[in-house]
Amino acid sequence: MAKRIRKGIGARVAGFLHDWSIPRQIAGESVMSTAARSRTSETLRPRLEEADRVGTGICPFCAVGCGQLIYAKQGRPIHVEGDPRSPVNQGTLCPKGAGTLGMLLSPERVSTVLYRAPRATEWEVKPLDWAMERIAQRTKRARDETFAETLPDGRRVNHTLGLGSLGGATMDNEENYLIKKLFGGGLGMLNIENQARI
Amino acid sequence: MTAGGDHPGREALTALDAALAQRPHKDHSSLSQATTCLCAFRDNLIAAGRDGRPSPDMMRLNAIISVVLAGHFPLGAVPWDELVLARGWLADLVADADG
Amino acid sequence: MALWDLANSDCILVMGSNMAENHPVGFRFVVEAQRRGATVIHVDPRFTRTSALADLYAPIRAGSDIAFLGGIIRHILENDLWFRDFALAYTNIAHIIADGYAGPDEADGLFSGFDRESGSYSHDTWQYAGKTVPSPVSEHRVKMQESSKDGDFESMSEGPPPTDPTLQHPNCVYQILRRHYARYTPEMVERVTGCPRETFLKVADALARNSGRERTGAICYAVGWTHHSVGVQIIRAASIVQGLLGNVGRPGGGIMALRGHVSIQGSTDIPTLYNMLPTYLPQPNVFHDHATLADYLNVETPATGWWANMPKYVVSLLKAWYGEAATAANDWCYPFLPKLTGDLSQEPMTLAMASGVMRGQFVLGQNPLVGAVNADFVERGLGKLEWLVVRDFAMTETANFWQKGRLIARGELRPEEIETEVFFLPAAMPGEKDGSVTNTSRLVQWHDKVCEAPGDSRSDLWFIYHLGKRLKQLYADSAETRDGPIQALTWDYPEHGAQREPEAEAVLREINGYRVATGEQVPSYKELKDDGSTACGGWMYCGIYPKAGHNVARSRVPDGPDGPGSHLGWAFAWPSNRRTLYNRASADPEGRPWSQAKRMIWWDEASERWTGLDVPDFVETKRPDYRPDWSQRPHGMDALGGDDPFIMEADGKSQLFVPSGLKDGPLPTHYEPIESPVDNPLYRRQINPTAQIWEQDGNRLNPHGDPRFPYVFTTYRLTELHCGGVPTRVMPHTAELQPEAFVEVSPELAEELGIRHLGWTVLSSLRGEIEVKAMVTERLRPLRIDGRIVHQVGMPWVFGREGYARGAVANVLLAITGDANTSIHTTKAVTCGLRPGRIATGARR
Repeated sequence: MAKRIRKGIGARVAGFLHDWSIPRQIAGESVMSTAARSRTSETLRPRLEEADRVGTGICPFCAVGCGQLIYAKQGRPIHVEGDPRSPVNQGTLCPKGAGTLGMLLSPERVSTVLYRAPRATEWEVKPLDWAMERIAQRTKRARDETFAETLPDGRRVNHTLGLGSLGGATMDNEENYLIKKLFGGGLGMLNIENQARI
Repeated sequence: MTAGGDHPGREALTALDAALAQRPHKDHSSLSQATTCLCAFRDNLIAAGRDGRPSPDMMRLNAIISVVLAGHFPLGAVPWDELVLARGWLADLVADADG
Repeated sequence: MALWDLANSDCILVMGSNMAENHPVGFRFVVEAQRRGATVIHVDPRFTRTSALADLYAPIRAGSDIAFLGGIIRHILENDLWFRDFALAYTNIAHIIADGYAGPDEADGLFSGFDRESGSYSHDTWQYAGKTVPSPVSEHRVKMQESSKDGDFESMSEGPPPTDPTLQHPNCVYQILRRHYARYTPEMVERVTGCPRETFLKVADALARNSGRERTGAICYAVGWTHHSVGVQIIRAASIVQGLLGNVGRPGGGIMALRGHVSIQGSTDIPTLYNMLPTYLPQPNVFHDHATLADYLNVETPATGWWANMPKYVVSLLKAWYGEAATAANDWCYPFLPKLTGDLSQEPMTLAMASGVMRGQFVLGQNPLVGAVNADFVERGLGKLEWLVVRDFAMTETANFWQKGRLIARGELRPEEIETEVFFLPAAMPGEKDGSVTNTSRLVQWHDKVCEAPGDSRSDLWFIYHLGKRLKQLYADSAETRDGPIQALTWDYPEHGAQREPEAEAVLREINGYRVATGEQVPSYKELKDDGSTACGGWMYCGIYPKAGHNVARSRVPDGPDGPGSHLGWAFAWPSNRRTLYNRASADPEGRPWSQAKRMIWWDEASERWTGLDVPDFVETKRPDYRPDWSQRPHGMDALGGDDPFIMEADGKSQLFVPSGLKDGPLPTHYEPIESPVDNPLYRRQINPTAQIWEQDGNRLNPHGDPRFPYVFTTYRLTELHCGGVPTRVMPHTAELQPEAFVEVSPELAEELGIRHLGWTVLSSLRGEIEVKAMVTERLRPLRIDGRIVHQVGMPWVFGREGYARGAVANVLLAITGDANTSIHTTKAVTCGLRPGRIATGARR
């Protein structure tokens, strides 16, 4: 800052005029290349240069299925853009897709397990392993207490209506497959639904 | 809508009878009342089971709930014949529970 | 059809969708078609950016779509504008329907076969004369019984259905269609929909003009069509239009369902749905003849058409799920499968939750307190649960209902009174896990894991897999027969890394299918067997992982500018990587393209195969002149001729008239929405007689004609904010672009009620009331319906109390109801009250 103040006014004006891109653009230089150049732009580097990894993503919002390229540095995403190879979107994204990085890095994101005991007024943070074991126990108990193997006249139903699962349309095919397989094929749950019907 | 009371099983039976009496028109209030009472009945059995007295009636009751719910939310025509069967199973269950 | 194929259309009708705003990148193909000369039409209650870009905009009253489309069908038939060579050869237009069929004009708005005692239809009088036609879809299946006195499914193998190619028979489909739609005149269309008849006629003309050998048209819809009590029938009406105009299975032709979520198609195919097993196999039902595997296959397997292969798919699925435990002696563990008793879709599930049926509930990446209807009712139901598991990546209205819900805010409930035990588990997001998703045109695309999910966030695959492992352990020592399924369930997937993430590709390999003896991948569903030698988790996806190390969903080779444009090297489209279903219809009965401009596949006499720009949707070597030998009682594909393109139907013909499978009639008929300020101008019957209505305390319908609720209310979402999901409300860019909720009101209605732009208003129904600021806009216009002015108001349903962009939940106003066929709720046309002002403090929110 001190250096800038010592700089002469004349030199600053001349420097500004030399650096100012508008006169060059008015003179007809291409905005796509030289006319956009300035001293500041000379020092800018694309953040993609810092990426140590890039992979193919599919935009997580609507069902158009736009291809994305996700760039990461040390395991953390630093940039998401449309995949120019994709015949679906040819590099374009809508405002939602273009904001994907903001979703991944949102300060509102929760990354710990939260637990609310019956009648409690606040959440508590709990270990993941504790929660998984308790959910497994709760699931088994609710299944066993609500299971019907047959109707009283002997017709086999092998089901429980006391457990439900909602969701799937935001998830992968492999995830949906295991949900239906475990909950339906393993536990006998029938109340399995997702956003396809709403 | 009331649920539970001292004899949710008998209340469920009453509600189911009301629903069956309404044929041919499906009676949503009676069916949801029957379901609510059956679930209260089951809650009692579950609570008793957790106190160390597991009930052999649980599976019968769960099956009855499945059929009554199907009467409320049928796939196609209301399965009245099945509801009549369920009514009989429930009457037996309530009699056993009382006995 | 593939999304990019829209660019090949000569006319695109967008209806029941605001495609430019809600599927913006898909809409670029519409713009591309327009640039090449196509006519783009938007029919919608609201003028949106889709309307602004269209060549023709037609306003209609929300919920009057069948009247509009019925008018188009009438216009096409009465002016002889249909593509005769196509429709006569490939649809059931000439088929003769059973004696005794009667339409709603003859029976007070009901079709023949209505049983007042059960409130449902028998399909007997809707059959082809002398036949019993099996339904090709398992969706919400009613009993597939061979009940008709005239025969059974085997009747389809005795000979072709009776037809009258001269179309003179009074009970042929052509004559039935003409009678059925005779009253859907342009005048009637105007009277019901509010669309000026001149505008309507321009739409009908544009569609008809752009069809035939040289031209094709497409129709795009979204939940603006499905979220009605007659949703399936609206789409059926579109399929009649497309069948008559020859716009199915051809380049630039078809009906494009614009679906909402990234893999909503995948989660329908490999269903997290109550009524289906993977890839459209019906879930067994104890009230049907499904006691044993033989019974189930006997009643569910059609004798003719592709679905005759069903036993191979069922046995292969059972082998995939129950592995070595599944043997011929125990019916491949078929008894393990849970049997249905009734409708357990989301709306009944919600009502059952409130009755106390459900004790535990998983909510995985869904937010019913915003996305489901009648939010207050849902909130009460959640409080009846013993426990609730929510998996998401940020706090949702559903997860903290016990702390910040509307009932808590109103003081109706206190957290100390709510017993529900709640677990919130943080979820990994795209980019933080790998797997495949299926887009709206069946394109299955793999995505990579690029970065690490923060903290304890895990993929849903991890959650289900590890929950399954724990449960298998808990049940390991059980001797109860009812615990057999979880003990037998195959659950061996390789784990990787410190977090023991299961390998998603291993799951995809199982979905694809493998040979049991060798573990080798099965390359095609044609090689699946019903003898237990193959295992396959989802037959329609077979071919996605055809051999070791080859995940076709990962392939990323698009066509170049001079390529065929089907992009067969980009990812995988089920089935068999074909991009356009029923593409045999792109060739004429002799196997030649209808025109050079519209060629897709054709019969190559030299090689004696079907060939072309897409993977043929036909038996590759079946000649166009093949005819079934009816003396041999042909089954399966042998019963379909070389000119029968619709191979999933029992006779290979597209069904303009549907004999089996629909619960509310074989033809689309205009009924008013479940709540409407209008008396049905067409029939004395006001609403769909088979619509699912479950009135009870907390879920009452606004009475017809109630002066408190005089306006049509419709909902929609926004480009920037996605569905009920919190994701875009916690995303800084999108939340800033759409910061708060609003209701759209026309200037005329605003003036009438004294509502100011940006002023507060209160919206109400018998389900609840909300307050929200007004957006006074000409995007919504008052319509003249049946001689009087009807006002419509509209509101985005994407807001909630969490995230940066907040506002009232529109779905508070809606009732839990269901379409007759799918039990899908109505969100697009109900009634509401509206007044300026705010809700009294204390009751606010």
